[in-house]
Amino acid sequence: MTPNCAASAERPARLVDVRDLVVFIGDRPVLDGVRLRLEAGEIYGLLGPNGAGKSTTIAALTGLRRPVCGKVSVLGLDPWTRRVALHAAIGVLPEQSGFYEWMSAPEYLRWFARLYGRRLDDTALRAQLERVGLDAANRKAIGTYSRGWKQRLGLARALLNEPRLVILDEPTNGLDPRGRREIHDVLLGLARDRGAGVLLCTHLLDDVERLCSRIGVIHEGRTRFEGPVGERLEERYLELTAARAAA
Amino acid sequence: MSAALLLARKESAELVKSGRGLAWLLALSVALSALSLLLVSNTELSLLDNAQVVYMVMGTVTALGALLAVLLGADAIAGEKERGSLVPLLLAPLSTGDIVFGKIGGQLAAWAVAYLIALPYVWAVGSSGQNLGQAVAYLALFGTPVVLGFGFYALGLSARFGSVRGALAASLITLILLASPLVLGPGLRQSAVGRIFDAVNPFAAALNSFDSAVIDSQPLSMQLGRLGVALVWLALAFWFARRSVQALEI
Repeated sequence: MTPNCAASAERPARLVDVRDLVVFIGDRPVLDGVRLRLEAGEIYGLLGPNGAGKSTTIAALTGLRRPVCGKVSVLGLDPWTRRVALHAAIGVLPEQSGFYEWMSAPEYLRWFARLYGRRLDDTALRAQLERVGLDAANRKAIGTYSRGWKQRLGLARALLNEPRLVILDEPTNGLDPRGRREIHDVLLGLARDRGAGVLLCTHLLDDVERLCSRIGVIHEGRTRFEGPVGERLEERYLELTAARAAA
Repeated sequence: MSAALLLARKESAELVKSGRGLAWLLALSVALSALSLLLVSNTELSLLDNAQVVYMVMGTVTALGALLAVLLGADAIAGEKERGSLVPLLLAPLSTGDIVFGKIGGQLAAWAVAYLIALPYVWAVGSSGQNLGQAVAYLALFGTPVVLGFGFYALGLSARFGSVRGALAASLITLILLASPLVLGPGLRQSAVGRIFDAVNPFAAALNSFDSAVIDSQPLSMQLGRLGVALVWLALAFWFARRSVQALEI
């Protein structure tokens, strides 16, 4: 299949600016016409059913997947060619977030912090862990952690470098209601108090209604809607993601 | 501390704490113990001379070191991918060079430990003869580029295949092909094909140097061409690993 690469006009820089994104895996187009704009201080919900292309979009935004065409600008950088500079400035919680299970949470965070050129003293380490609801005194190996604890640790890792942009793929997976609420508060704090942009990739509409000011709906690799959350989200979401099947 | 060094330290610690590294080094010790016992018995019965025995231990240590490098290299990228820890690592501010050098740093540490484990065995079989010092030096000089070359090569395959099983199979086949001089008879190695293979094969370069220095007592100046082959192998394998990691997509 030949990609359709229409030239895009320049616009002012945003935290994330994606236009007409096309990504192939092998010779199959996985994304074909994704657009996304994210401003500072905004929480943006990226929605779509399983297999719609949300995780591939995140991979393209973080330089882990090369676009065939379209414009991808994250913090004004091309993610594929300026990967190291980009990764130093953003925080990402990927969907598949494995850990070095033989390490303890403090060891893990300290090691990652040093990759970012930071040293975490005991106070900073405690603050990072407590921010996501983890016990700083827990020295058990990560392999013994529950899924929810691992999710919290992944979030703590994503926030280690005080990023201007946070990209989270299903961050509340495996969390109990209290845990979800705590993570919501962390994300709201990031956007409101620190002016960071948050790209929240999820299929939990409750999370979106509570957190997001704008959403993008991806279905079958294409952006079907981008705009304010608005009323009747569930109804509209179901209509948007069923449109192709009905056609 | 550089990011590559941090990664190398993590890799080395992982080998110890996960138990894999210790198990492989224990297996190396057992294999060398059995071989040394066999060879010392042969020397006592005057079936093999002392230099020949040292040469055989050196070849075996290099082969086992390369096997260790292949096992670690095949797991380096694909293993992390299968365990889910690769994506967070790739999302850290690490360059391709940091990842390749960091990963190979862990293998270098494993080879250094394997080399230290091998020294008492080389001494045990070679202490009563000549050229023991050359044996120890040549094992480091030629063994290191050959072993690390296999590590880089397996790491590159690991990035390209994305599966430990696939990378391990492909790199083991290459290792067996290149290590064939260990099992080929002199007749086959003297044929035209055997000579060409010997001239470009890093493994053969190392073995021929061990032979030349330990058995024939020839000087280092005679080995420079062979050292060049081993270093070219190391450079090519590094280039392959770097290209493979650079092209890695998730």
